[in-house]
Amino acid sequence: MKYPSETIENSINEISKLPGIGKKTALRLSLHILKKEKEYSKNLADSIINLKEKTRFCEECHVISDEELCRNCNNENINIQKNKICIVEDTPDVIAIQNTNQYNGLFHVLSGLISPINGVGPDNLNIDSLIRRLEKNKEIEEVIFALSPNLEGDTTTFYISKKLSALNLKITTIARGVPIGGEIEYADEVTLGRSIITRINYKG
Amino acid sequence: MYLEKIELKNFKNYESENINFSDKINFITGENGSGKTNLLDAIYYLSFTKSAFNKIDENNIKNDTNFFSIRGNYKVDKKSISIDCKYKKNEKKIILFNDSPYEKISLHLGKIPAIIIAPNDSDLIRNSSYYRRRFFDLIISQIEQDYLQGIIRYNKIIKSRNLVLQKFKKKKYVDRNEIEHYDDLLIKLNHYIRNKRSEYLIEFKKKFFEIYNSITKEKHEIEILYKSKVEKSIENDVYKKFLEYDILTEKTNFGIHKDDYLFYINNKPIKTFASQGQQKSFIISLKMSEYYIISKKLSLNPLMMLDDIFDKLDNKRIKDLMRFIKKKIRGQIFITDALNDRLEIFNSKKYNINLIKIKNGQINYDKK
Ligand SMILES: Nc1ncnc2c1ncn2[C@@H]1O[C@H](COP(=O)(O)OP(=O)(O)OP(=O)(O)O)[C@@H](O)[C@H]1O
Ligand SMILES: [Mg+2]
Ligand SMILES: [Zn+2]
Repeated sequence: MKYPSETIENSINEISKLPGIGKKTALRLSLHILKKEKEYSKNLADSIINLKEKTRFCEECHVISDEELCRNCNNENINIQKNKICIVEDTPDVIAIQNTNQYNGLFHVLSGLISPINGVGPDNLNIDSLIRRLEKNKEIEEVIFALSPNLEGDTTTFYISKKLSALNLKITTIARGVPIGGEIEYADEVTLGRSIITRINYKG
Repeated sequence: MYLEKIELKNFKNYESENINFSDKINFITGENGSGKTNLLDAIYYLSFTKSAFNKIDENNIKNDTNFFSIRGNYKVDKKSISIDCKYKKNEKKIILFNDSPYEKISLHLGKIPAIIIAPNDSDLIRNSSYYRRRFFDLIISQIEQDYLQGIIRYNKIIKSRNLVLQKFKKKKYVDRNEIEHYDDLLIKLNHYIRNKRSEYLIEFKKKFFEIYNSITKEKHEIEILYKSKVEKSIENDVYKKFLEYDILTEKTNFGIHKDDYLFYINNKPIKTFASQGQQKSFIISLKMSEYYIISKKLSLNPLMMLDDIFDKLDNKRIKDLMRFIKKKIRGQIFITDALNDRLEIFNSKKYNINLIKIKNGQINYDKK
């Protein structure tokens, strides 16, 4: 495609790198931004730059965070129940579960699931840090696994629960109201909320 | 159920072709290499989402192009159904049922049951156990989706487990927690698959003996045995017991992926002791039993494709075979043959045959 301005062309090229966005949509978005006041484009650009420059992974739970410790781990939120910890695959799961308003305990993000086919073994996940956390944190009584109901999720739950067996904790999984094959990120809030209330005792 | 029409784009040696079929017998003729088998393969694709001959999708794209598409219009109980199969180089294959995609492609299997009898069926006798397992698995899978999903899951677990075994060997450590979950799942799946395979074989054999005896004059004792190390009741620690050996060999040595079906004629293995003609009768009986069991279980007639079955047969045998086909196959049939004069052998009026002539990947529409 040919464009009259190099600046527009650059902007289209960059925006169309986003998933699900083609050149046509990118052109439309570029022209939209052009029409708006200067502030609009500056805020948009800043927020995008900050995503990379100002975020990191929480040192305690590995969720995406602005500080060393995230909002859940920095002790500022007095409503957080510290006797429960929910194990999830990734940050979007934390957001999904928090937004059910049915759970206000701690989280731990594994950053993946065990999958030999994809080259992911236990060593590639935040499992050692979980165990250290549980050993250190005597308040925690219950570990809740909220992983995808598939081979990878089940294998990961099994592996970690075996590693935790010496710690004498209550181990549960979320009830699979979550549709089969459906990732929890996509489960609607009501089903997910219900499944986090009705937890099932895990027997490996 | 029958295929009314197929549209091919860049499929093997076809560039762009629309072909209408009769709901009875379609007789496809043309010179060697004209595209008869390719046409059957396109029909096969719409049922099985893969080629019967060339498992690599890319090889089925017409040379010097970058995609193929096949569309079929079917009538099932007077209802119209369309199936599309599209493949573009380096992209995911797309299967559409009535223009909408599946959550996963494997869910399509069994929607349009079909059977092909082709020269490479001799693999069933001559080649490894993989071909025999696949033959019986495809029968059960077209009838029971759950079985297919079980097989897919089983294979995925074996693959995962083998990768863990390789890691144990390479990194010189063993952590049973990494493998035990696979073992538990495998035990359940072995049990399920083993029982299905043996149940289906019992039913299959009843029909198989009957068909074999009706197409051969000589009295042979024939037998099919299901051979599996997986017993009806599996010990819970079977994988634990083999673990050391599994690590040594870097693969899973126990399970239904090692099963075989043994074919016998007069108490001897058919592979080494049966003549070519006897082997051919055996294979046709296998396929006809497949046809029978699928039509009975699903209460509909699968599509039947017969590729080059008249080859090497004398006129009398061709007539006998045709009479047999006409009697036993009530659904739609596609027959290929390089010699269209063979049509005269069985008098096309009597059989009400739709003749399709192919030349270099194009249909020759001359007046009949
Ligand atoms: N990807 C492809 N692109 C172009 N041509 C192809 C492709 N794959 C196969 N062909 C051609 O298709 C022809 C074979 O067609 P097919 O096997 O259908 O022949 P046939 O009519 O069944 O012949 P026979 O009577 O020998 O069985 C060959 O000439 C082969 O080169
Ligand atoms: Mg051929
Ligand atoms: Zn945190």
